[in-house]
Amino acid sequence: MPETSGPSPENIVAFKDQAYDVATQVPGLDEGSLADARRLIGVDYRGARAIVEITPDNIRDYCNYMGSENPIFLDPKHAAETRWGGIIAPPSMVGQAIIAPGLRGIQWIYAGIEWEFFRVMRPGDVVSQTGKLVDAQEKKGRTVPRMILQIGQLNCVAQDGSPVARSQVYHMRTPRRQAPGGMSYSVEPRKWNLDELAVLEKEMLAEKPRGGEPRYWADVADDEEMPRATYGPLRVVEIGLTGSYTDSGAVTGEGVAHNGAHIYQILNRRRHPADTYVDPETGAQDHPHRGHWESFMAHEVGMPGVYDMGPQRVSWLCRYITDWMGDDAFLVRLSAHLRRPNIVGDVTRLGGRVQRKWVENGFHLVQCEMWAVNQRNEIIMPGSAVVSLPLDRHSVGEPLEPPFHPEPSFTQPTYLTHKIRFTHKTECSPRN
Amino acid sequence: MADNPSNASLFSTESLATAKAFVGVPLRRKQHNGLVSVPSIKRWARSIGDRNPLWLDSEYAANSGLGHIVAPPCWLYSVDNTCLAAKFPDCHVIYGGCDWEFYTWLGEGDSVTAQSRLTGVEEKTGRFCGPMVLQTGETTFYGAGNGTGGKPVAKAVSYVLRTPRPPAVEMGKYREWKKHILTPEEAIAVEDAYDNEEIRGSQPRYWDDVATGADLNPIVRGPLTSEEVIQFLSATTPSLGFKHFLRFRQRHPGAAFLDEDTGSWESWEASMLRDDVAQAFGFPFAHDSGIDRISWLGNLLTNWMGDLGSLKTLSVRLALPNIYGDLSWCRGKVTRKYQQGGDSLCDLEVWCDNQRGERTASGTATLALPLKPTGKG
Repeated sequence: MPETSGPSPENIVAFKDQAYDVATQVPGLDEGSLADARRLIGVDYRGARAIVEITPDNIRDYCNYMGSENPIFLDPKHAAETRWGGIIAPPSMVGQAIIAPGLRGIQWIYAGIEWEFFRVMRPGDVVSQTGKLVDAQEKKGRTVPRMILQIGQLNCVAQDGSPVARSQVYHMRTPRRQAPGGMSYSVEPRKWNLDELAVLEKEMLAEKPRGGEPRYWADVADDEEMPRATYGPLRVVEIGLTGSYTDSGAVTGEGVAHNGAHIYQILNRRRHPADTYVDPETGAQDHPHRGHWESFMAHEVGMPGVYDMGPQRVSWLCRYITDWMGDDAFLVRLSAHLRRPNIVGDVTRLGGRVQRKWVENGFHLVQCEMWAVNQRNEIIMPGSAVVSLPLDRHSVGEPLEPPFHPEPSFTQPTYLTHKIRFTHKTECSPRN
Repeated sequence: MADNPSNASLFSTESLATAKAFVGVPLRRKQHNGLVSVPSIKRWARSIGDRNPLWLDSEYAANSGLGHIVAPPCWLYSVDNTCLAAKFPDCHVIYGGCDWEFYTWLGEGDSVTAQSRLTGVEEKTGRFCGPMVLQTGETTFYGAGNGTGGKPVAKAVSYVLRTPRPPAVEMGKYREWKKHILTPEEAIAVEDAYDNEEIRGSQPRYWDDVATGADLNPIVRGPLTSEEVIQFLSATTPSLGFKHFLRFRQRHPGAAFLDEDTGSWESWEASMLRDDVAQAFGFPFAHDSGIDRISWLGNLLTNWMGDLGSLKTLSVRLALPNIYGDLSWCRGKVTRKYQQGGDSLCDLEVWCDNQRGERTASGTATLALPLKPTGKG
């Protein structure tokens, strides 16, 4: 069995001793760090290999996890009447593996993703993912003097060999709070009152996916504002217990760090001895990603409180754009960059506007800029999407998926060059 | 509140009558898995630390005699967690145990539906919170795929305690509990136990060779951390997120509490992630769901019986909380062997002890085992 392959028995003893030597939990970055971070560039990365089998059950789970009520994903009767002839999967469910090798004991913070999608996924599809590290660079941060950005690329192919999606993923590596040059982020916690909660709930319940009413390209206005969507106040149960789709492996049970408890956590530590941070209250070895649901670890990471998981926040944008575009549309590109943490108790509002519309190879495309803003009026996640729409009511049924280009269009990572300039008001206090 | 909550019933005749009126009525339940799919099986098996290739390895399973990947019996918890609770919105929901009957294997490609109803509502008194209510329910699982069409594949009779929170906090049954600090030596011993876990698999365990009184090879699960809890619940019964939670809370206001930290609503399920929430209903620290421990005992049995064995019944009562940092040593003993209705059966006792030697769960099981081939050579 692949689960038991690993170090030889004599090495296991050494591994165990090493695993319980916890002095290496809080290293800093040094002169050799960048080279270490770049070491696996170009190598087929084991941690990115995953197979996502699309089933109605895991589509429903994913919608629960992302907060979508869109009937194109959830209602077979509704979906049967659409151009897709049945339910399809939310595009971001394709997977977004963490590609952040090396740098033992340096925390990884999900920093963003840029996707190109080539076709919809339906129940029965089996999507295989592979990936590699393509670049690593040193950066300066707001709350950390030095950090390293690692950039990876992922390819997702269906069982028939057809390309489903391609993406570029970004991870920031930051030393933990107690490390030399460790991250130390602080914010004023926000406490809500029942009146404010009532306003937020009213907003959320008023949000409706567009669904069966096509959004025709001809009717989309330049600069058109998209209706806002609200998430929050964020709950720890929403991060930890709604499915924990930290990456596509969570759907498949393939061998990634988050997949499998008990012995599987131990086997993972034997491969990656630094993927551990001892809980001082129990002495137990535990995964350092648990700052997403435990305040002790969040503090050790350098976060002001329990913080959300990047892929989950990104899925909110996927839900936002798929709600907006309706059933008769195809999401061509989606990108999201995580700029600041989203802490339990925070309220996030998603907004967006049409930035550009154009015709390319006969496809009618619209680009939207989008943003996620918290109650402190900080943009925590800028993003953008390109959507392919039917021109008008006469072109319903014409193909929406643009042809596949073998060369990725993100050879110049927009993360590095993209300066988001918002022309619109992004203020986020509850509306009355 | 009464000075001594154990002397005063907190349950009015009226609230009991309302709950009893529910007995026998088919319950509307949110089913989780409907399809017996390889990813759902793998994910669930890995969340309980189960390494049996019968659920995980397609090639192995194809040659196992079953012909394809099958679901571990307790995987059915991921279809319906059988935690049947109705009414008493101010009371906590504590899973107390379950009597399982398994009729057949479910294999990849099958699908399952579940039907549930409450069968009893009973007032009880205990040292945890004084008066409480025991709700008994029955969930029948029906197959709807290859070879299982429409027939019941399993039945679960479940026991759920409804406990008022303030008296439980006041009585403080677990007030003296401390988290256990695992030493590196203990931790290494636990790893050794994992490394030495015996999965019988393709080597049949013949009924003829089993001796009454024989001990099963124990397995260990834990130390319990948030990882175990999160992975198990995510694979078994994910919590509702965002607008789905909001809609649920509007229908069931008791499912949430106002979190002091944020001033906002949080689900009581947070008690499995946060010590302070667990303490707000009388538990000592963040804890498991209980359903996982029953599944670990299922894992003990499937490890032991091998591919040709089959689990007929599993009946477990949960006795004490299993908290973060705790180890669960899952053990069993053969109590009887007999032949009945053409099957060669064993009855067993099974239990979980934590590192303090406290019994956190105990129960019984019945297994069918293969007979030794009679031919010589």
